[in-house]
Amino acid sequence: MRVLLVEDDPALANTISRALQGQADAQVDWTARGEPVLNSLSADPYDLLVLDIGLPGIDGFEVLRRLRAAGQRLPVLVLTGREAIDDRVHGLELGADDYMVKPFALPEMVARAKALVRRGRGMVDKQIRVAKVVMDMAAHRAWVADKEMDLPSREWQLLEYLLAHVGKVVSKDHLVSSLSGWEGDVSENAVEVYISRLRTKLAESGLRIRTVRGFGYLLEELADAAGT
Amino acid sequence: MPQVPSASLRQRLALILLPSLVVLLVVSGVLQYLLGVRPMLHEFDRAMMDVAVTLADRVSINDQAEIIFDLSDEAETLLKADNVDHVWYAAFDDEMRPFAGARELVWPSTKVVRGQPYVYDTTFAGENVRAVATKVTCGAADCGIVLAETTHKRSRLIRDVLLSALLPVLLLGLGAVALLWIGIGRGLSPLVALSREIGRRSPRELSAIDPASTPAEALPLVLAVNRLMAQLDESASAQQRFLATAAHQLRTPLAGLQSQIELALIEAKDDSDRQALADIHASAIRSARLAVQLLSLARVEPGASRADAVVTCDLSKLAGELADEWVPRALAREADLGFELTPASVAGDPLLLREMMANLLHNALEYGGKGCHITLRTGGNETCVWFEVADSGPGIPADMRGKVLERFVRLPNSQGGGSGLGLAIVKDIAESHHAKLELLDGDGGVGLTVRVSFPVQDSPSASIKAA
Repeated sequence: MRVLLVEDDPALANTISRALQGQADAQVDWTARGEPVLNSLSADPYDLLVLDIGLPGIDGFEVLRRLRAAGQRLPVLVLTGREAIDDRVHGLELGADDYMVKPFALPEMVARAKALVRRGRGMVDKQIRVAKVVMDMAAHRAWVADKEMDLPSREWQLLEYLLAHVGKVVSKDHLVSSLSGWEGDVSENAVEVYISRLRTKLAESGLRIRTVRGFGYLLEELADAAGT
Repeated sequence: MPQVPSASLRQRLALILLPSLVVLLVVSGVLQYLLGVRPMLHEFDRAMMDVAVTLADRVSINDQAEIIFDLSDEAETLLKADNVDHVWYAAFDDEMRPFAGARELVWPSTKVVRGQPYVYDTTFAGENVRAVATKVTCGAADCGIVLAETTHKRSRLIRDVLLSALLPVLLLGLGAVALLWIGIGRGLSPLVALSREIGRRSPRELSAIDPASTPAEALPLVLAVNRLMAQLDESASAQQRFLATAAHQLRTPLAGLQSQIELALIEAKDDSDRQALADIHASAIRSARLAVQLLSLARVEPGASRADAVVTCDLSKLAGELADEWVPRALAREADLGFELTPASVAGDPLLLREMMANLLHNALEYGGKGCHITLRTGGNETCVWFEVADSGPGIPADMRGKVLERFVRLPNSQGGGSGLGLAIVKDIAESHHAKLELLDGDGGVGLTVRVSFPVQDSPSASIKAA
């Protein structure tokens, strides 16, 4: 995978590059300023942009705005100091796909970067692959460890959503509203039922759905299945 | 701190006014006596002298060369016809022995000159009397007449005149004192309001007092206070800027250090290297966190003036936003982090509110130990909205709870690598939001619950002035 890293602190940039190279087999290009980003992105096909918000010259928010305005769809992982997290970052309104607050744990950063790239690729080739799970969006078929899964529509939607948010906490409210739609509303109880069915079906998948008490769920990759 | 004021304005005024009033009364009384009462008393004396002279005319020597006193009954009745005072008279012979009238009367011991009636005070029949003694020629020698009268009329005159003169002065004086007493209270009420206004402020509110509502007399005071406030605000801002810059400058290299150690950890070849790196890593994380905390402190310090950052926010939403960051951390420490969220609307700075929750979650994870249950709750009722972090860890003994709110205080024997700043930051942020911070027993009496409750405001804009 190719990553464009925009970070003005050389030491941090160096570490991030090395981690992405070593842990995710990434080829990392680095720039300390935001201005050349747009040109670089149109010149070379990148899988991920890792973007610091506090930059000299135009800041990360502005880079992101210009990028999305120019129709660039590639996944963006935003890095920010704690004082810059406001609702703009929280709502990811400017089109960032994920954000991390400095100082962050390097392994977590690498995991999120990988998840974003996977998601981005899934959107392009219509296939999601996480751990031992494969979802073929075009054929609407899914497999766990090469065995085909039987997934009714709601469970399909739920799994797709969870796989797109591996390692992140998703709220039950959010699941309820994203599952509700033309086919009628879904209750919290129903979500719980779907989750428990998915748990059974994901038993061999190298994935686990954790319950976050009173809030929602967290799909995590089990350690022995990580790194794929 | 005992308040010992240096004598109140009222006391000082009373000290000046009351003696003046007494002097005024005395002077006015003396003047009234000299100018009003004494001439009238003189008139009474003159009338008595006239009567005495008239009585003296009644002393004569008859054919037998005896001294006689001849007063008709009608004249005597007329003489004594006074319904206020008793009147007595006596006639004395040439050896000054009384021979007519009230013989109990005595001739005054003082030498009385003929033609000059002598007026004096004495007592008679158990009463104070005013008396006139006059000499009259009877033959070769002098005889005498003494006329005495009780002093009721005189006393009454003195009393009436003095009363009529002094009472208005006294009333006027007392009225003035009373008016001043009330007036001082009224006049000082803007100052009382002013001190209440200043007293109500938290140490973070250094904005100027509105001089528009101040009376002209107190304006210099308000302006001086405002100047002081401005200076305080300026120096607090400078301090805050320094703290923020220092913390920020520290944080960047520390973050770099942290990720470099993490990289080295990932690439480490053998276990002893990994252990050494893990220890260094833990220290780096602590230092980085300390820098972040100092930055948070700087943000709540007076002078940070983030009043514009205050918006109406839902505590349950803010708490939910922390899930993504904190649930994985809890899992990494084998702790169970759960949520019980009810919408709770409050006016505040979302950044600082999140910071508070994050600090409490950090503490619960840091000190709760493995397998600890941690719950972040939000809720509210008519009087307050609140959030709390309850953990099932070792808790804090009730007598130590006040202590841990101070900066850089950590419990003896406490586990974990905290700086002792976390709760102090929470306390500072709570204060800046006029919120109450309480350390309570945990759920079911196990562990610790830290609760922050915000009073419900009628108007959301009034809840925080200059945090």
